[in-house]
Amino acid sequence: MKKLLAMLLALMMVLSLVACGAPAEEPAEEPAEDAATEEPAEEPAEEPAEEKIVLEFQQWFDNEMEEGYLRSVCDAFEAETGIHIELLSNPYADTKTQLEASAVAGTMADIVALDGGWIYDYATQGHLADLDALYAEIGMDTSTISAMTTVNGTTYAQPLVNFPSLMAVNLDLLEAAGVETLPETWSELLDACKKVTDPANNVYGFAMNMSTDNATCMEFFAAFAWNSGASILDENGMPYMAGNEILIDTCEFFKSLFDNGVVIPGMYTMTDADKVQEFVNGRVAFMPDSVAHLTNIREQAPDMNVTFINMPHAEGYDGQSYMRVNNWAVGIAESCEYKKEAALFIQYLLGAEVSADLCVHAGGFPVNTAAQPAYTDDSEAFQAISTIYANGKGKAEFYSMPTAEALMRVLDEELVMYIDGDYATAEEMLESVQTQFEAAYQ
Amino acid sequence: MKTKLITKIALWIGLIFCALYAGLPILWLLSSSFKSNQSIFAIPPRLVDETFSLDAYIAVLSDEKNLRFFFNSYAIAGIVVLVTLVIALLSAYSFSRFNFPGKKFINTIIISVQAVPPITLLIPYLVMVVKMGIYDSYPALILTYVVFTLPYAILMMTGYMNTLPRELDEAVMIDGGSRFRALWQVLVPSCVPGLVSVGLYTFIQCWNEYLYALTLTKTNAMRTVPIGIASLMGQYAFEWNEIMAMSILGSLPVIIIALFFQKYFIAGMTAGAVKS
Amino acid sequence: MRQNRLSKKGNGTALVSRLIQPYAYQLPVIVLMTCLLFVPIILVISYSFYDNVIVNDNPVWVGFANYKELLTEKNFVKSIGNTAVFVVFNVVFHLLIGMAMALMVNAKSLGSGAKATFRIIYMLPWMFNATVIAILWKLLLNPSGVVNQILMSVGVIDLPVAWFSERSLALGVLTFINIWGGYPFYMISILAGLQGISADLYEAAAVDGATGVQQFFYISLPQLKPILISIAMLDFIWTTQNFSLIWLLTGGGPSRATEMMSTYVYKTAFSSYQYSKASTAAVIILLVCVVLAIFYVRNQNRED
Repeated sequence: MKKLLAMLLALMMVLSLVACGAPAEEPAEEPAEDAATEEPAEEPAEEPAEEKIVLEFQQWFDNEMEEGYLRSVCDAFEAETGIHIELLSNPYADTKTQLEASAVAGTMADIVALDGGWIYDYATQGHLADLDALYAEIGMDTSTISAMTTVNGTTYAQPLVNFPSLMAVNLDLLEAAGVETLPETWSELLDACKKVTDPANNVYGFAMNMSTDNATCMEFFAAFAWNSGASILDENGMPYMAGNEILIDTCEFFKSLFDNGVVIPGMYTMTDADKVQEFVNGRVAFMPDSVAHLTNIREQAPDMNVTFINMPHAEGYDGQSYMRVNNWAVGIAESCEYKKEAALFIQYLLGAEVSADLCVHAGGFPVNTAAQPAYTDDSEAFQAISTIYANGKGKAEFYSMPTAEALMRVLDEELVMYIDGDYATAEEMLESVQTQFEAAYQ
Repeated sequence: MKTKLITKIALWIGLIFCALYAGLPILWLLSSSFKSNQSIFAIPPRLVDETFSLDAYIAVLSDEKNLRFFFNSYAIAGIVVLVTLVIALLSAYSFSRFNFPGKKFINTIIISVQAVPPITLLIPYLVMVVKMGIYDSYPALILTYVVFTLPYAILMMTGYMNTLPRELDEAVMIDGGSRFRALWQVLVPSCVPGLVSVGLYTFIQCWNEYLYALTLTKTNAMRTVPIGIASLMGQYAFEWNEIMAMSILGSLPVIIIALFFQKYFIAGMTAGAVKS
Repeated sequence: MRQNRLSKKGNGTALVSRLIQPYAYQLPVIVLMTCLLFVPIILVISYSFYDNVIVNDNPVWVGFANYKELLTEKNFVKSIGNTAVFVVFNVVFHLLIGMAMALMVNAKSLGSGAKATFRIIYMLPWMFNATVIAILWKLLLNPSGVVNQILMSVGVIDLPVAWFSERSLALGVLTFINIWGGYPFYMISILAGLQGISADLYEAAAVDGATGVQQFFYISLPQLKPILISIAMLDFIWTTQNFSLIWLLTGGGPSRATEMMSTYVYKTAFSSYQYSKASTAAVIILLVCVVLAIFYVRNQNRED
């Protein structure tokens, strides 16, 4: 046995000397600049067709839709234009790390998917191309495009599909607890939650993700304030947290949910996935959530009666209704060689028919007002969502802040401390938040 | 006699208690991989329920993308083990058999470089890999893992080699053999247990590495199992049972290797331990 | 001494080759490490002396300003404290559990089959990567998960505990999980060390009438000392860097209760784009570990 192993090892060593010969020499080649340009040439796809343009499209959308759908869209685009789209699909949770690393190393894909909170930073750091100029260059008609994400007046990211965030409701739990009307105000929500909550049976009124691994959860929190007429930006576009009356009320209301024991245990470190999991298991009646989860909820809890309602607002507010809207947005890398072609792809994705079909597959809403998605979903929940979406206005105020992600995390951390009683008043807490937000502007 | 019995009973109680501590969570992992996605969080929790099936495993293994991940992980971990072993062997030989100026210095450096949190090196490292033109390729990951596993491998091999009497290799040299032959013909065969334990350690490290595997590659063709596990956690959909199944499948080779080489593994650590 | 005798037949060139030889064997290591590790490390060190690198095309040299700023920042100091607690408890409990398990598995009265079985079971947690360990324990410690159910049915707790969301508990729970995931390395190393101790020592002690406990304290422990020191040192370094587990379980929360130096570095670099600050934190971690490494090498040389 031992001899055999020794022989095996000897063989392995010889092999490995051969194997390591190649990589070990690589560092020596480092100064040779051509090494970098040589590499892509080795890929057979690139060599024969000099005129064929290949664009890399890094996104997480592919994983979220039925398998092969996004590929088929790209193939249809290629059939029309001859431009090949190579899909680089990442898990959503890792997209940021990968994007940041590639931005710094200069290997950013030609077209990249962007979360709202990143756009400002990548735009100001010069990683994203000016879409307005490109749209003008290809003569794109943007009159029907309702949403474009601008930074200092210039468009750097193009939303493709909108996903409003509303309040998901488990109607079965409400019925069992004898709640007959769906809550519209904060106090109605609190009352409904109180009736539903039954710790002995592991049922609670309210769940929201608050884990700082993805601090965009603070947009759910802000949505309570937005839908009560608040703005977290002042007229100069600067953060308006300290002394913001509606926001103070929102904090106090949010704390009252905790104080009344109607929130599910573990909310401080709950992730988005955990939250949905608790919901589909019938342990929570209300959760602020992206409507994109609807398919997932239905798949996992086919028998549950679910609907979505507007985020409850402050007592007595009867103005315009606002909701958090986030989206699948894309930008073009400044380092992209074929920016015009990349813009053509975006134009294609926004085309009335393609956009409509994409929305049907993603379960979201089009940004092109000409698009008429033929939703096959005729459920009550989806009808409710469509109605609210049609009548509400989207808000995404965090996205215009520098290092939005870090700032939302700050708000999250301070809010937890306020709920835990580290701050005497919400006002005090928001003052601290204000100071930290302002620091990011310097 | 009586005290002996009592100690024996105490020993078994301790053994079983510790086995539960170590094994129960893993048992739960295993059981979850056979459940349906919904029943993983069901109350009351049960080890086996009516949704028991192999569906998750079938789903994982029937996806070509996942098979590619497994292949990549094997190929990369395998080559890294070989390269690391060869380099560590040479370095350990020098540390063990020579006294030379700067020995202590090099030794300190080798140990302390493992102290750099990989996450802080990520950005400059990535820039370098891109400049070298090996971004998104096997060599990028192989080189990275070799560098990260080398320090501990060298430490272990040096410790192991110190336990082998110098007479072994010197006999070869007195007979007119070269130092290299002494290393090759005498030391290497006697080092097998040490090589096995270092190899296993290296393999585990490569198989589980995540951060660099994610950032140094971009296409699915180059990605490894940990990334595959992560991509089952989407933004809007989570396949818990498949995550569990893939975790089990991903850990299986490591467990099998550990089982198979257990004797050598412990023996290798033993010698390394006495004089490390 | 022998080396001298061997080289006597040689002349000047032999002497030179003998001087060069040890370095020649180190060449692959030196080349690889210099190219792939030292260059980025030096870059990171240099970043720590500049005002916002990477994001800024023309960073300004600021000397030790970043260090001063960081060491007076409340959140960073807190992350140092958390890391210290996390690391110390990990190292101590890894050692105790690893030692207990190794001693039991090494017991003479145990058959070889039982030995091998328990050895493999005890090694199991080591075979899973951080992502899997995180997901697994999240499942187990979910407020409505198995652990809470069991504890409630036994009557230890009345209501389910949100293990990760209590600011007073979260750090302890993370420590517990990391202890579970890391002790096998100690167990294997200590087991290996125990098997390397000469049986003669124990026999002689038994003749002198030493009890098992005495044998442990007067023979096993002193013999194991060098290996205990080295694994504790390596563990210290590895645990300081732990990132994935913490990130996946708590993200450093609730409200920074489990913020470690590693999560601090990540957030600073990847969310706030303050690479200089992140690099400075990294250099501080590095410094601590280098001091340890020097101590370790000195210890090692004394043993020789």
